[in-house]
Amino acid sequence: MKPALPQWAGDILSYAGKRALVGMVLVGSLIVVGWSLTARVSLITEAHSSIQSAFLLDRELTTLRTKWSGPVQEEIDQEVRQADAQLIQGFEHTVRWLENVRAQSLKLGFSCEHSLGQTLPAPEHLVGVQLLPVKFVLGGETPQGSYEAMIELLRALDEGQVRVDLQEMIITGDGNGVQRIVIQVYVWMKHIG
Amino acid sequence: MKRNNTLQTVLGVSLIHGQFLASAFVKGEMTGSWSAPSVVEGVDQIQMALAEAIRATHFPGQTVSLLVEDRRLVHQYHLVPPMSKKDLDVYLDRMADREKWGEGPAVWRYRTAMGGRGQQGVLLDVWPQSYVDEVIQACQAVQLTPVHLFPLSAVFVDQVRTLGAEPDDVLLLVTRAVGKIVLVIATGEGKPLFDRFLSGNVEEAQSPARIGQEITRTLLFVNQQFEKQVGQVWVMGESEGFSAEAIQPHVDMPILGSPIVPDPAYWIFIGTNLPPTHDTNFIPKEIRQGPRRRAMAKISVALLVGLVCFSVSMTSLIEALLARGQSMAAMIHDQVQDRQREKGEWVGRVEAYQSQQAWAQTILTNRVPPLAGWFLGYLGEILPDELVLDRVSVVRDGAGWDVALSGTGPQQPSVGVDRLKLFEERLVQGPYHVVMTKRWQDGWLKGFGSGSSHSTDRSRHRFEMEGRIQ
Repeated sequence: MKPALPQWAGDILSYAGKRALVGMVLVGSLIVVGWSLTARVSLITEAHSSIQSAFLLDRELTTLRTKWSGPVQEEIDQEVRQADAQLIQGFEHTVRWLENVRAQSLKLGFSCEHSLGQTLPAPEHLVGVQLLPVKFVLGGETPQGSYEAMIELLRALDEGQVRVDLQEMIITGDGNGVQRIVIQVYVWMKHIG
Repeated sequence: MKRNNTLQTVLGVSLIHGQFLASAFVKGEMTGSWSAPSVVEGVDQIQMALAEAIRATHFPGQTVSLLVEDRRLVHQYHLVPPMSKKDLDVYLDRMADREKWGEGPAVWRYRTAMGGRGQQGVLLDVWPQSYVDEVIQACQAVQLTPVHLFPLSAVFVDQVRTLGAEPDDVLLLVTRAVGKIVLVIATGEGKPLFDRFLSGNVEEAQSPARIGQEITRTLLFVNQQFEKQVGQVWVMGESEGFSAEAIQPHVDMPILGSPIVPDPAYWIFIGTNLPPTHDTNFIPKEIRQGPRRRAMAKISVALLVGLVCFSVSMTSLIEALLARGQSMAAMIHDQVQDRQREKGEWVGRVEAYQSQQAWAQTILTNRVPPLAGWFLGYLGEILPDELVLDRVSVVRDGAGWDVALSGTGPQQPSVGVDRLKLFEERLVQGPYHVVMTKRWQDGWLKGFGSGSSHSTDRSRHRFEMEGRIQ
């Protein structure tokens, strides 16, 4: 004879109770496993995402290095140096350039006077660059062929090392030749103070 | 003997007033039998007898079917008014409690029988709960699951169906079972009307005359109570003084002899063939289904253990992988951080490069062509000889150049007009496509009309032209 169990113990140990208990344990286990797997899988997914990010970043960096290192960088530096060389670097450079123009004018048979205007901002708002308006007044006794001399001077200005944009040209004269030439140019120079 | 129901392997036991007989059926075939040499009573003796029967018959199964006739069983026939099952249960519960053997709670089963005169017949079997519990405990003690616990009366009605009568025919079956004469009245399809057990002095109760007398009384009772006529009277079994021939002289209607000669093993066989859901089975469903439930429980536990093992293994595996990957993940994370920083630097550097490149390109290219100089050279080529320019102005205005020309023409007006027209045509149609905004005619005609007031040279006429080079 088995010893009699209390009512509550009998209820718990009854078949229905056992079945419910097993069911609860099963469901509980599944929930715990599911939760654990979900949490861990999210970690794995995160790691996978990191690896993918690292790979993509590597690829982007490789592309950037390939595209912008070495020759390209040299080329840009070269261009910048060339562009910089075409700018008036400062006051002394301005004086030298004006003297050079005067010398060329005299060489071509022109007397040369110049006046400087207020600096203007560079087109396209180029950083560190401004335009210096310079007006040249050429005169003197200019024999036949003064047109050719003037064009020679213009060519010298345009093809010189400093970038110069011709803005205005007024020529007065008569049938015998040129009496007065007014040339206004914009000289590109570095921004000074 | 071959069995045909679902209990293919079962130990059939009859315990009739202490006489223990066991027959082992394996896969439907009876493989052995064993009878106790002495009277078996009480849970201990039943348990020992069962153990001995298992041993003697080499019974390999786990189920037992019991057919029991015991002094503690109360078997009664009741006629009750028609009522619902719920009310009938209450009524029979009271009846069982009143009619039970001894003290203590009773357990009862019933079968409905045909009634008569507006009443319902009920065959009620009542056992003390303690006795049923003892039998169950005795079986379980020897690792057997009881699936049947039938009173002997349960198997008799079933025999009526074997007599081959029409379903609606009423039959009277007389048989001898374990020292008792049993009279069962039922329809051909096995629906009982009632049954009777002849008691009293054994010799007197089992004499042909007494049996014939009881048969006659029963026939009359059926006629009166149920208003039905018994069509056939059968005698099952044959022994000294108990046969159809012996009883026939005492009964007015023909008595037929059943070809079946029952012995105790036969009733065991019949009992094991009854369905476990039979109305008179005293084994509760929970006990009957114990093995299956235990098997299910084992499977559930195995599944649970398997699931837990699987869960633990998977978790361990994942944790191990994660632990191994943890350092790698940290390294990758650092690498990603470095790469992002480096990418940021590169993006800034590239922006600076692009800005520098654009800056340099703007200075090196997009130069304003010295159009004024070229235009002056061109003027030297297209200016007719008779025209003299004394002022040329070329001024840059936005994307174009404004041109202003002034000078003097020849003294002869018609020649001057021709030369000026030619000069203008060359300006307009030439490579610079000068769009004239102020034509020479207005000033020239005015000067010409006013006697060349604008002329510095009275012999020549002044002209002025303005235009735009796009």
